[in-house]
Amino acid sequence: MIDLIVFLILLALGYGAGTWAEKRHYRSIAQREEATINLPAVTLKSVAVPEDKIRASRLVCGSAVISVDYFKRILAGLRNIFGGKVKSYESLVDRARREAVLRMKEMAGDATVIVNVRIETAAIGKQSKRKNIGCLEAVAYGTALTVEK
Amino acid sequence: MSDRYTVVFDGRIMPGKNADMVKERLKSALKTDDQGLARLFTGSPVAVRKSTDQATAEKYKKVFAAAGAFCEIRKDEPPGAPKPEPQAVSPEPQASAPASPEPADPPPAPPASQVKMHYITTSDGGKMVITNIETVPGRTVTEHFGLVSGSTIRAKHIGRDFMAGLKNLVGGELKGYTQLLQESRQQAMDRMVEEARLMGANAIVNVRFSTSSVAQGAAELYAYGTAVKVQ
Repeated sequence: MIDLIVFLILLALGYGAGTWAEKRHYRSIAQREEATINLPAVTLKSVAVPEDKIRASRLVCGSAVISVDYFKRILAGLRNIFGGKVKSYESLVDRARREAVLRMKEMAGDATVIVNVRIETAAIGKQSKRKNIGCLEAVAYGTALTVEK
Repeated sequence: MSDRYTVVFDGRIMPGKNADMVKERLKSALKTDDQGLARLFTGSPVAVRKSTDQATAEKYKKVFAAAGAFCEIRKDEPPGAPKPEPQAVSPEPQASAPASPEPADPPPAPPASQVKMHYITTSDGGKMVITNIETVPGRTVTEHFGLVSGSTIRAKHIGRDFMAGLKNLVGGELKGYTQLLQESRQQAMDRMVEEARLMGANAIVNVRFSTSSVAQGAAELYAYGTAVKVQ
């Protein structure tokens, strides 16, 4: 009985706090994405600017470790039985990647463009065989170029 | 009279560092407020401390390095000579670009092939350029040394792990881990830079990072690239 109550409390806490935190995070992501919209990050290896116009270049990177809440973990566990789209983890990786890209842009500062962007994700903190996605790290890196206007 | 030095900061932070964290650390290290911090991060060179002695300048450099930012120490010209020193508030960032090799004669715009380099300082005080594209823009590769790599394996911290366990319930960002992984990535990069330095390279191109979880609670951070010599 006690176990069930603890479980339900954790579930409710995970749902409530998790949803709230996620919404807040998405709001902040959307806001910052809008603010850095003038700094494109592209996966192309070079952009069509003459080399002598490039004023500066350097490696920039950003990373974020995001974990999923208790409720979603249970939900995903249930989903594992039936198969199909695991929506709760989709938002997790999406948030981690977008946050990493934003941090990379922040580091680039007043650069004009970031080329050759790579985004990588790795599951870290494997706690046991069952819960294999505890939290997830996304890292984005690229070369920031400052181009003369 | 001994030489005077100026400590100049132009908003550059070390690769792998989070801008927010660097700002926080600088704020506490320099005992400044938000306004003072905003003046540092304008994107153009700012004189943090003018006409000081070498020991103080070195101390500033150490503080900035510990916070994850680069600052330069410039020797002041004797009075009378034209001072190419950047102003605290520079109206035109182009005119005060600090990468020019002859600071005594500041051209209105740098020569066409002059690309401002963001150097990483190696352990012997040399300079190293790191990019993840195949070339260093504006420079020609003259020598190719092959692959260099650096890796580090980090286990989680027990205090951080406990907090992360709590945070795992509600989800969201695990700041402790983010910082831990950034520090480790920086270490992997430092090792890579050291390897390249020993080969005699002055740039690393095509850098890649990868993370893998090797054992329970430990992660490996790996950085690799191609060491080259550029002009």
